[in-house]
Amino acid sequence: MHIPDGFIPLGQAAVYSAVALLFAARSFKWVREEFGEAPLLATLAAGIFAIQALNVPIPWGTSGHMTGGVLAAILLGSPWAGVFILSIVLLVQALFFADGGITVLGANILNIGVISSFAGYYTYLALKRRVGIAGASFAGAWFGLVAAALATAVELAIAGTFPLREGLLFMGMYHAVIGLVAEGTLTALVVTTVLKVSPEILPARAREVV
Amino acid sequence: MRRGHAVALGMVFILAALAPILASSNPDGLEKTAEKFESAQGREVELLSSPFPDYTVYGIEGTASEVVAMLIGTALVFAVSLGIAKAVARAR
Repeated sequence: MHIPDGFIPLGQAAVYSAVALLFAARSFKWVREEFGEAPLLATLAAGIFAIQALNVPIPWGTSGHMTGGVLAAILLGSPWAGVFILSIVLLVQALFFADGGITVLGANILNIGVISSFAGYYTYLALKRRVGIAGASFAGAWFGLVAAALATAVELAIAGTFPLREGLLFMGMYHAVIGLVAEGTLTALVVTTVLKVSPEILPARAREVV
Repeated sequence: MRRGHAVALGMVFILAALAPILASSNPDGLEKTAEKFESAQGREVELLSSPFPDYTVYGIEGTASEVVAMLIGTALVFAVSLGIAKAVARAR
């Protein structure tokens, strides 16, 4: 489940949509000027859509799924890859599957596409030399997911839907565990597998950065 | 499309078909958090009538419905992404 319609008042949702639109537009510029490999982007987008349906159980009768922005950023060597792909995935989910609201699409793109991809990718870059690709992928993906969850809690607190402290506590707690068992583990697994099995499907620039 | 892409795409569709069968049906982190707060109750509204609500296809029962919805969704995401990325890249 992403943020549904009704959880954020229209005025606030419009602000998030405007910010998300700026980032989405900039990610289009990245595709146009730096990354033209449409089939690879589309395959990764389809894979992220599919893996988002794989909810993994965690304690407290809860579950969670991978979101994928950090994976896209690491594989393609830019956080803009995460922004571009998640913008499209979230748009399709909102329009066709009632997963995430249409008025709050911007908020969902901002959290899961922008904040997660940037926070996670730069964590990955900072750690890569010290702990290696697998460890840095795990840590980056974990941090990206938790950052997105905390941003969501803050937005829902501003909206009056969640109380701030408890919202941060529960969103942080659940997603810290989801980050371990789903986002971190699967991101590290996919990144190391792609590098080992077929690094040639990645563009040259991404291979250097990875 | 290179061979690596084709193999990867095949694996993506297998994952899409398996996901509804393997997935936990427990509420997710956001849903579970929302359940805890009185202030979140009754807020959710449905503005769009989506063709595949909750990842199901009308007229098909049970898990099969979710599998078909996931396969349609995965193809849709692939097609939309490919179309947008090609159009954007061509605009160079």
